[in-house]
Amino acid sequence: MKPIPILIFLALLLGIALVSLSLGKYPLPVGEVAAFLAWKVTGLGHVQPERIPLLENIVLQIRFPRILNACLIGGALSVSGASYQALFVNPLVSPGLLGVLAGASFGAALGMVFLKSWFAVQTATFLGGIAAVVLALFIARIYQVRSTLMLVLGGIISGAFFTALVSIVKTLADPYTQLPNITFWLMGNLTLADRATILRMGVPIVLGILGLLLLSRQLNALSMGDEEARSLGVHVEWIRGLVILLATLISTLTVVLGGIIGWVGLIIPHTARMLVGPNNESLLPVSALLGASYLLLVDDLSRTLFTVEVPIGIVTSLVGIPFFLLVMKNARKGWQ
Amino acid sequence: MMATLSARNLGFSYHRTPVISKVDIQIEGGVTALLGPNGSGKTTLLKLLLGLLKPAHGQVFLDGVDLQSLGHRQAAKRMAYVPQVHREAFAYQVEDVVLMGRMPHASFLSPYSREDREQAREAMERLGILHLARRPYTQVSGGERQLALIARAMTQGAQVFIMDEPTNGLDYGNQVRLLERLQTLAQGGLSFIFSTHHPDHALSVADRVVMMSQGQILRDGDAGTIDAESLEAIYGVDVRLFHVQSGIRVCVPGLRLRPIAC
Repeated sequence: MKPIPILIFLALLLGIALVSLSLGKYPLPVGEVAAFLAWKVTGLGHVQPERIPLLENIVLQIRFPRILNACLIGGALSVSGASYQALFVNPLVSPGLLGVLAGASFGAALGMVFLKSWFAVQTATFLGGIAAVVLALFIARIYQVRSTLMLVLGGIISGAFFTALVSIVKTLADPYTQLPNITFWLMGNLTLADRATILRMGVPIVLGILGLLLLSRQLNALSMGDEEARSLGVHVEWIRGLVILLATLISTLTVVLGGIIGWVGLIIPHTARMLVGPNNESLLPVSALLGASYLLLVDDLSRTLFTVEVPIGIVTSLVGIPFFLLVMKNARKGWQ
Repeated sequence: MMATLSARNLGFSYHRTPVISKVDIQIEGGVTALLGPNGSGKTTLLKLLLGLLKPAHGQVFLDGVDLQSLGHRQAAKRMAYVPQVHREAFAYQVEDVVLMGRMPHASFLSPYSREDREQAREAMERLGILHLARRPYTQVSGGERQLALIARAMTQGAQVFIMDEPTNGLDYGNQVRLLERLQTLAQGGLSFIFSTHHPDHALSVADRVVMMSQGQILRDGDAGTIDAESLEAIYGVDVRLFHVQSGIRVCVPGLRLRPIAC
């Protein structure tokens, strides 16, 4: 692992987070936010006492959870996308490859129509994502050929199946109350998760990301081909299973936190690869940090651009496409 | 210490069609060339020796221990696979690829140590590719790529190198340079077994030649004992062997259209 690029991207993320904390309907000076945070953490420095309740409320209660949410989702989607790209040695792969996003969408839609509590909806979302990947793995298994191509095919079939199920649920949903909710959810939305949910999902997401970072060396070897990896002493089936498990887990959790947010898991790994090279030991941590930074920036745009907040999934696509075209010029660098 | 790789009564079937049967072989030092026509089971035999395939019959032993009970990680410390062509992978730096050889040694959680990196550099230096360390692996020439893979195998600490058509895809100069390199490394105590489609490669560097046909070993012996008849038997074409200077022999196809003036 090369620590220098990772530190640079960490500093970038912290800088963007600081700016994001000061942005919003009630703009705050960046300096004041920084001084407040420094005072909060270390007890040193000076903050005007009469501003403390206000800062406390806006910065910590309102904006911090949302910023944490954006970081978790951006980081998780990017790391799972980068891991999948390494595992399948394919640049077109994104976290949705094995149907996880379609399955989670179905779980969420089903929950919004038939379940009462918010927690039950979240559980349904999570289980939907896992179910879709299990189906994909099962389909790949039927043919007895252990190839990544069969896995991809299984993922496509499973994704199509669950997308169809989402449509069925949509037709069953009440068009005035439930359907708009489902539609907004599928557009991606950072306003839906409350503080408690963010903290509850944050722990497994961070653990999942760390787990994938620990497997980066094994991923390097796996991307050279199964037989070569095995001859290097890697337990191929185990590592592949573990990577799929962790990447699925964290990408399903992002759907619980913010619905379907496309493009991040595809473009961020490419961008990171262009910046630090394909070695997963640096690529995965840099993807996590860059993905978190990117989603934060996009969220800042969606919060401040218009008086009505635009669902972030739409902005990630709109910003992502020109950004990707820009990156694509050099994106092949890490591949050939 | 020289590692010994041996196989006894080895058999393997693919979809109930036997690919390899009744193969006995022992590798202990030197360069062994594996000759045989397409589909004769060379690659299958190499994969069985590496433990990448599970034998249907018989066993493979690495230093007397059955490969199936040894585990990939332990086997990887003594035996390395030098694959032939590479599917288009990521543009890892040459150094990163060589460093992968430390996989079986490094503990799961800790990053590569200074010593691991030192070993990788040493191997690159020995093979004369240290200047390529920071170049993308996918942008160096085929010959340099093959050297990087050999450096990786050395970084593994392997004593036995198993190579599947290592000269495939290399230009003539790089083929010769690679074979010379094998010979030098073998003199240093490492064992090589490589498959090839060029009898000349076997004649020029191998100490020993194993000839395969239809999944069985037809002939296994000193490289000096190869004769035109056995080559004709496995390939089914006319072959002539000629002595050139200092005991080196070359193999020439007996093409009927053009008589060979010799």
